[in-house]
Amino acid sequence: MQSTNFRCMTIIYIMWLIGGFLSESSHAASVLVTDEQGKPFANAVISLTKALPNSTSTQPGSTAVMDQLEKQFSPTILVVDQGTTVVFPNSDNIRHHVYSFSEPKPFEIKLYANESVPPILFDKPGIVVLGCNIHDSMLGFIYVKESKQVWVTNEQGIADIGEAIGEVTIWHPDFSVDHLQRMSGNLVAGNPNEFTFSRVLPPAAHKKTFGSSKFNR
Amino acid sequence: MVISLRKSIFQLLFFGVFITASLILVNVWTVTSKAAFNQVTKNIDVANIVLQQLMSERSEQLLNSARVLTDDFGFKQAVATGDHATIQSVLENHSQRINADFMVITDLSGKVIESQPVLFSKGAEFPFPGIVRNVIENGGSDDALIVKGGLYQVIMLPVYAPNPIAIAGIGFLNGDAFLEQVKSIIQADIIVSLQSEEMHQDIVLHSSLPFQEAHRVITSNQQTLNWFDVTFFHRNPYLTRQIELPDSIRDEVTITLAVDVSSHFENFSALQFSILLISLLAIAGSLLFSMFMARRVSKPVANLVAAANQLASGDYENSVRTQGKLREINALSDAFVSMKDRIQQRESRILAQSRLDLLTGLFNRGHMETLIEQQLTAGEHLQVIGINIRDFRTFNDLYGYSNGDTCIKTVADRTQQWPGTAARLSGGELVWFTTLPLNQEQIKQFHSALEQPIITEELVMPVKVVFTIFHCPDDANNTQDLFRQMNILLDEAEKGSTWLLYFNNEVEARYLRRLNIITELKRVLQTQQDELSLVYQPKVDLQSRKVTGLEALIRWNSKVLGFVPPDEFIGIAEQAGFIEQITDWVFHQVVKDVLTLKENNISIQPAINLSTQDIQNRFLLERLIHLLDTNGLSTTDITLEITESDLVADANLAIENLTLLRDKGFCIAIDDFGTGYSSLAYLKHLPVTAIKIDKSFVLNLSSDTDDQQIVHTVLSLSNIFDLKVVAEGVEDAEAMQLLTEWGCDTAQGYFITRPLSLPDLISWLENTEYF
Repeated sequence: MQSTNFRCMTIIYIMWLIGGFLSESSHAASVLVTDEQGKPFANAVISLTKALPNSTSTQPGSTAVMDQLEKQFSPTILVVDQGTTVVFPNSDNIRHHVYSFSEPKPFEIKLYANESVPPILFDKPGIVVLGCNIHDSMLGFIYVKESKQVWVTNEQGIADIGEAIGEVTIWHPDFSVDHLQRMSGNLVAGNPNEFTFSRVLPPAAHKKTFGSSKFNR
Repeated sequence: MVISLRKSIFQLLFFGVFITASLILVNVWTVTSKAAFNQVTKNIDVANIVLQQLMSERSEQLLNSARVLTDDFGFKQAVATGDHATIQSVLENHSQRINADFMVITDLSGKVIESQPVLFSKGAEFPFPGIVRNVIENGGSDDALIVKGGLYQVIMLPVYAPNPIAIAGIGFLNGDAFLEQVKSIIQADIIVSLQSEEMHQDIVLHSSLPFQEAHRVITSNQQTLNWFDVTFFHRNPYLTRQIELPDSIRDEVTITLAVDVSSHFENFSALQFSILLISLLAIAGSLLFSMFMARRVSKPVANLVAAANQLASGDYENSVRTQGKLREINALSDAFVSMKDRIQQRESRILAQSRLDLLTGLFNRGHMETLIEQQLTAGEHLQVIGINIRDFRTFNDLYGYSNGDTCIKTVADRTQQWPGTAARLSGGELVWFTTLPLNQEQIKQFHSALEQPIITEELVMPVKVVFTIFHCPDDANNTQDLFRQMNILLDEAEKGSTWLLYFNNEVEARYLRRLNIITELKRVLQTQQDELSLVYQPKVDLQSRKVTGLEALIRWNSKVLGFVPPDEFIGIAEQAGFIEQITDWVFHQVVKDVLTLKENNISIQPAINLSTQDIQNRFLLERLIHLLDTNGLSTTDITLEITESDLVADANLAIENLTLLRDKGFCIAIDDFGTGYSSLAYLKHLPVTAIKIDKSFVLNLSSDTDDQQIVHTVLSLSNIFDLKVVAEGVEDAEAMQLLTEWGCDTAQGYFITRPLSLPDLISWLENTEYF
């Protein structure tokens, strides 16, 4: 299962590379994810449901960075391969207490300014929601890929999926209140594959009802 | 309708004060009621606003409390990890920490994860899906909810870990304790009630008031107040107002603000009571004031009324003046005083005039009586002089009334020169009195002063004055007696010649006897004529010495007065005007006696004396003739005698009547011849057949030569006129002899016989030599 998965991933990766090449040179397949207002979902993660197992995710040494900059996670959404170690460098000169209760990787680290802490290994696929116990407004996501057939939309909401077809799950934090819901979709051959989802604004993120902004975070 | 001044003033004041007080009362009542109501309304509005504010602040506080919970890392961790035991303990811990009444955790779909205490069953849907939705959409909710019969303020917040993973709900019971706290802040009671359709009334859930009281307040639901409630409302002194509620409970719950108005209205009630009291005091005051004013007005008026009544009764002495503080009353009083003075003046003038004799200016008789009466009452001794101008009537006739008046005025003036009080009684009669009696000499001087001739421009009138003098109270102790006696005495003086008469009892006695005779005689003539009787004195012819006639003489033997001489009572009867009745009686008696004599075969004619008035009374004479006729007698059966003086009054009529009588056949003799003024010419013309020489000439004839001369002359005279002569008063044989010698025809007298009653006469005639 692992090897099959790896093989698949490899194939997809190759195809992605080819696709990337093709897209630059010829006709590579792409996906557009927008909301109902036509605004693109950037950093939406598209995963092929029946993808090959993530054979490559076990490879160690791969490192990603989830920085804390001006009381925000940067990037907000970090997509990593399974087994990637993520560094939390803390570029602010204040303390952060980053935690996650997410099932793939619950953890809790206290970050001090100019003091490095050991990176954290994300070895299970899934969505890890990051928060800071000190700064409630900080919210970040680490998406640990479950296979190689995973694409991330760019700022225009476009992801180049190469030749991949089939059912996919599409995730973006703004799809649901708890930021965890994945949408399903079906990639078909031929361009373009466009998906439209309603954007769920985080509670009290911008609404000022109840006579005051007392529920704002 | 007539009402008293006092009542009128009282009514005026009373109604004035009453209406004013009522208006003020009503006005103040309504205004204060309105003010009170407004104040209460304002209070309740303020309470409402404060409550809203309070609730809002509380929400904020509760929210903060809730947020502390949901932000707690351990809590988040517990929820995120789904560690139920931990969650439960956390809930317990936190609910204690923030004093929440319940806490609940649901997942984002609204399924209950944990509840502490177990108000919501685990795994069930949270019963307020709207709130869950609201929390999801808005990041939180703050609601009032009814949970298991309690009103809760429920804060619900998402649990961020850091993405929302659950919803935490925290409930705070708005229970009685809380409401009481709130009450102490907003100064109004709060009642939370559940709308219950089955029971048609609300069920009180929570209240700052005792449950029953709260129930009553919401049942009566007093939203407004009127003045009546304000004044008389004591049972339910709460004004209520329902407050705006959030949608979540609007259909279920009513929250009522209730303000206890009693504290507000107490002051106003006190004010109203004060005004009521003041009004009552004012009314009472007006009563007193009206009594005072009425006293001020009505007392002087009553005084004036009393004064006017006094004036009406003629009392001018008491002061009419009423000093008051009212100008009109004083003016009225002054007018009364002025009126009193004028009336008094006029009355005294009238009185003075009424006391005076207008002609002479002396007092009149009426006032003189009063004056004398006063003096007598005072015990004074008075000398009273009655002054009479002699023959004043004649004086008037002689000089005319004008001069008569001059005369009386002059005499009056002269009287007034003397120190005393003078009055005119009537005609020429004056009266004068003094308390200092004049002596004889002074009386003479007084008298001669009055008798000075009265000189006018045209003539000199001699005046004669009679004085009658009384000493009171010796002679008379009251004016009635005095004036009566004075009258008698003045009559007496008028008849007499003396100018001065003192009062004595004789005069009085004479007067009284005269009065008695008149009284008795009248009575006798009307009833008991048996007191009267006739006696007869025979007349004897001196030639034949035989009885040829009789003189009928009347006798009155009164049971009261005894024997009354005929001269006395006949004269009085003449003066009193009833001689006719006596003559009538005599006629009848004589006729009866003539018939008796005839039965005894005695045929002598009795002579009847006629008085002056009889002679002039034609009807009487004719009655006599008729009487004789009816008794079968002729005019020759009686003779008539008249007194010489009788002829004087009205000679012509007397002569005419006498002629008639003679023609009828009567023999007429002149009685008492020689005493009157009869002239010889009368003798010539009078139809008489005889004269009777008055007995005064005959009684002493035998001794008195003067009488002899007179009788002789009369006899000679009668011869000339061919008249028979009768000598009366023959008392002795010598006179009888002389008269016979001198040729006198007839004699009458005691020498022959005294007058005899008829039976005596008859028996005397049987025995006498003269028959």
